[in-house]
Amino acid sequence: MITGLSNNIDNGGRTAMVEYSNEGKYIATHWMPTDEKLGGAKKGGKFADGYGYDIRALPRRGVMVSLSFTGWSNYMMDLGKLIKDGEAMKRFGNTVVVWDLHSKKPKKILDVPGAPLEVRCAWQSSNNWCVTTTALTSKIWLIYEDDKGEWQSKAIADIGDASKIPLPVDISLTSDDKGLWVNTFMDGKTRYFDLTDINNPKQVYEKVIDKQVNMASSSWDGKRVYYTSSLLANWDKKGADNSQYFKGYVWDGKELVEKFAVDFNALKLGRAHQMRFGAYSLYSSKPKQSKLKLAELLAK
Amino acid sequence: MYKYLLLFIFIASNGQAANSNVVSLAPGYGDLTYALPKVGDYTLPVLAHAADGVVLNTQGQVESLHEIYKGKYTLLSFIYSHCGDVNGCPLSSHVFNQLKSKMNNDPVLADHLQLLSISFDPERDTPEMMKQYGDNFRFSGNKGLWKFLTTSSVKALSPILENYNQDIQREMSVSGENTGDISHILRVFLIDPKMDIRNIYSVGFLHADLVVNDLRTLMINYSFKQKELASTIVSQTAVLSVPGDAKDGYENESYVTQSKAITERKGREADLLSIANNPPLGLPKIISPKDNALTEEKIKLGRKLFYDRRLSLNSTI
Repeated sequence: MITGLSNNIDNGGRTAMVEYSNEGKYIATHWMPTDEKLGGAKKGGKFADGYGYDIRALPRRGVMVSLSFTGWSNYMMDLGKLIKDGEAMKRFGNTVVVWDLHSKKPKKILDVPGAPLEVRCAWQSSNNWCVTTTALTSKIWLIYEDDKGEWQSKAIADIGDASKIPLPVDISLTSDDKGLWVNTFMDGKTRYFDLTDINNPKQVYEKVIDKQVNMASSSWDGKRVYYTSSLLANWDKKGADNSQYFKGYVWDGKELVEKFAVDFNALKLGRAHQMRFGAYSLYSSKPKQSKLKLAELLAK
Repeated sequence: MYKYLLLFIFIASNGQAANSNVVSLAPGYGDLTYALPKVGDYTLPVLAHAADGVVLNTQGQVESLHEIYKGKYTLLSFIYSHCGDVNGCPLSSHVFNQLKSKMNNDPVLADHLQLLSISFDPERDTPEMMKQYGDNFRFSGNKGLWKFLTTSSVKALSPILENYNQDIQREMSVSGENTGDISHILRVFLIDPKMDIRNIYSVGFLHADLVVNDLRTLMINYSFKQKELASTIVSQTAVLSVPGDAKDGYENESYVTQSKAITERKGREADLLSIANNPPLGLPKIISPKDNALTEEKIKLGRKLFYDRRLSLNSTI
């Protein structure tokens, strides 16, 4: 499933998710619901804006969740100009759509005002929820299934001082669902929220990673956290503030300690963005030892 | 084997509290925890055409996958009899066993769905071994069909795995020896009678209820198409069956010739296969011997022979 930022006719932001097979064959297009074309979806609030950005699924509940953020025109505009453009600032998404994962039909459109960007769904089988952050209003929102099986949304925490637009970007949910790393691009900080009470998260730690920070990735055991710098070429900071890096930290539950840093500017590697740690070679068995070495080991 | 599987599941599920490293059981082992979309209220687009392949049945006889697929909905899974990953092959066989059991009380399921388990370990899974493996599921009832298949060699299996995008990795021990375990991603294919893949179920999605829901949805869509096609054919046949030189009303003064030029006396041939499979109301179902099934080629031959005047008693049609 590939999410689009917009259609390419007017780049206005009305967009769809496009489904492909693993072999790359086009299968279907699933348009984001709007007021004009709800596609069978129920409106949970005021908005049905048709924007699309991030997407996650909760297979055990048969749902998929898509976020609206903004359309192509805003995404491709210089961030400094964008913030000063009143009309452009109106063109941010205010919705999260809950889909039937199997039929790929929209079930419900939830109001989540303030440009919801990234979404992460709970790993644990007893947790029927996802969390997202809003870029403009700097809040954590909970997308959850209530006691009646109805999907709802509510704001559950503030991220820094919203008036200073810290701009929450990437988030990373720990595998036990008890912690959420939230990066804020403008102040270059990573913040750790204790999600033990999911209805009332508490920020318990923060640290400046660099002059700007975007992506965060917590290891499955929660002991390591990785960071990269670039949000988007048009939105990255300029001049000396444009730090570009890949950094790794160790987390002991109280303090992040840097273990390595790769300076992408110094090495002329461009802008560091996505991280993926799925290489099979990292998980395969130990390399075969020669019989001689094995014999030496046995002799010891 | 199935007994052992259940025992293993029992141990796995009871050991969870004591050992956090125990793998959680896939949803296919329990009840679905969410409501499925309504049957027929969604579509399952064609994902790919199901490739052919040469396999061996439990008697050691050579069969072609395309011959097996013909005229049925097929659920295809790749397994191996020594597989110990509870959320791998045992899950697929557990779900297949559930479906096979359902067939006892659901003639539609028994008539339209067949189950295929193909081994990706031909060296150990000989036809005889696959027969033994299949015997473990004999208590699922005698309605419907579940075939246990293998191939003659790893080389013979290779193109099938490639065509179905089944990557496997033979596990090695620390000392570099083959452990006999085969690492793979579970992919179970739902194939329609036209041999198109309509869904691929992975661990998080393989569940008997979901498969039945999809099957019924496909059958409804297929049935609608067949009915539309049949009604079109009936109306076309009625028009085309009027002789090109019809003289009806010739005795009246107002008669206007209805004769058509030979070149205009052409129309779309009636789809006899569809009509045979879905006889018009009131006509009995055509008996098709299992060893001599009705095919488009045979109908084409029949049509050609029917119109061949040399075979006519009086040299007419």
